[in-house]
Amino acid sequence: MKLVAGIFVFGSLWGFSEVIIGPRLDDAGFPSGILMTGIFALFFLVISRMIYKQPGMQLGIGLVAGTLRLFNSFGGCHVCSAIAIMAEGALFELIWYQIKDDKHLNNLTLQGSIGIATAYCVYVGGYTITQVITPISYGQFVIENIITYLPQILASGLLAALIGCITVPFTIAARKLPFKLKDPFYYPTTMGVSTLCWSFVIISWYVTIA
Amino acid sequence: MATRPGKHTQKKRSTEKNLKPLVTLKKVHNFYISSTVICHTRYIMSQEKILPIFAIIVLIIGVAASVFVYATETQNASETTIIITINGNSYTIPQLMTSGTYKTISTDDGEKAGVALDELIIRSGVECPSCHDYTIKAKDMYQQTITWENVQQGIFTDDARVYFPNLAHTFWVNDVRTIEVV
Repeated sequence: MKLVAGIFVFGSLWGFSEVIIGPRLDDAGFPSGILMTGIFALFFLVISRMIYKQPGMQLGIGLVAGTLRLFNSFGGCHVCSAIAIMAEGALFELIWYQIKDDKHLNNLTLQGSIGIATAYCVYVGGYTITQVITPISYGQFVIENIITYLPQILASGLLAALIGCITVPFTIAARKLPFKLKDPFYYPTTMGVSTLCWSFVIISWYVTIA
Repeated sequence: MATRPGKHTQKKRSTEKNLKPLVTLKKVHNFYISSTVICHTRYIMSQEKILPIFAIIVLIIGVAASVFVYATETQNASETTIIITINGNSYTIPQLMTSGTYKTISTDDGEKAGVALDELIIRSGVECPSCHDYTIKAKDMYQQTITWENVQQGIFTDDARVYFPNLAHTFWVNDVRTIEVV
């Protein structure tokens, strides 16, 4: 039950940041997709793996965050972003399937390396998957289109990789801070934060369409 | 009076004492622990080597792709006037913007205004427009293929972008350079 609450709270926080911060970064002219994956997605996925030490959890977090993204009322493509977020959660699971905690990542070289590898693969993989699944869902997939654009996708992942090299060591260091949520406050806090994220996004979406 | 053990019994006991079992439980336990530690150490050692190598490979791929993209974009950057090629015919953006009916469409990203895309394709001389699909190619090699039904709903804007009301943003191609008849 604690795990389910954890999936909801981290998925909601990730989805909320994608909905609220992502479009703002985009409007300001920043590469929002790269920054969202390299900083926010990686932080929430790694910190949840460090806290709960439970493989499979990050897939659930991706599903929750992707679902929340579907209710996005602020700009952007809902379906393609939601697919990308869910794919990122699944790809993280594949890369981290043997890593349950920070015991195996005991020095900065390993932490930076896993940060580079994860951020690059998650970003490039998520981008590619959404570029394949979205046209398929419209019945208009042409493989030549994705092959032609592949160098651009592979190149854009480089910045995400460099950001990931900083995010993962930072996240592992943040995990070591002496902060722990006491049991009596665990469910009220996680449920409260999740509800707040979902309420804000759904109310904004309702206000926009109304 | 206790009976003194016979010679035979004494010999048996001493033989039992000398015959140590080949593998004691303690040894099995130690072997299990040591093999586990070795496997675990090997796993960590292999991870210590594999992760940096994997990261370096990833960086090499990223850098190589960036160099390729930069080289391609440098070639395309030499254009002084933006030329859009539709069905093999070349047009400037001002030409295209005066070649069709100006219309506004409603999208999930707000209202967008531009020239009707289907009129541009018909004017480029495509015979039987509904018999074909159309691949829209961008300056950065991004491309998407759409049907005639999609084209009929789409618009082309003065910043060389196409919008479609009922398609995902994946199909909204920026910096359009070519529209090919498939």
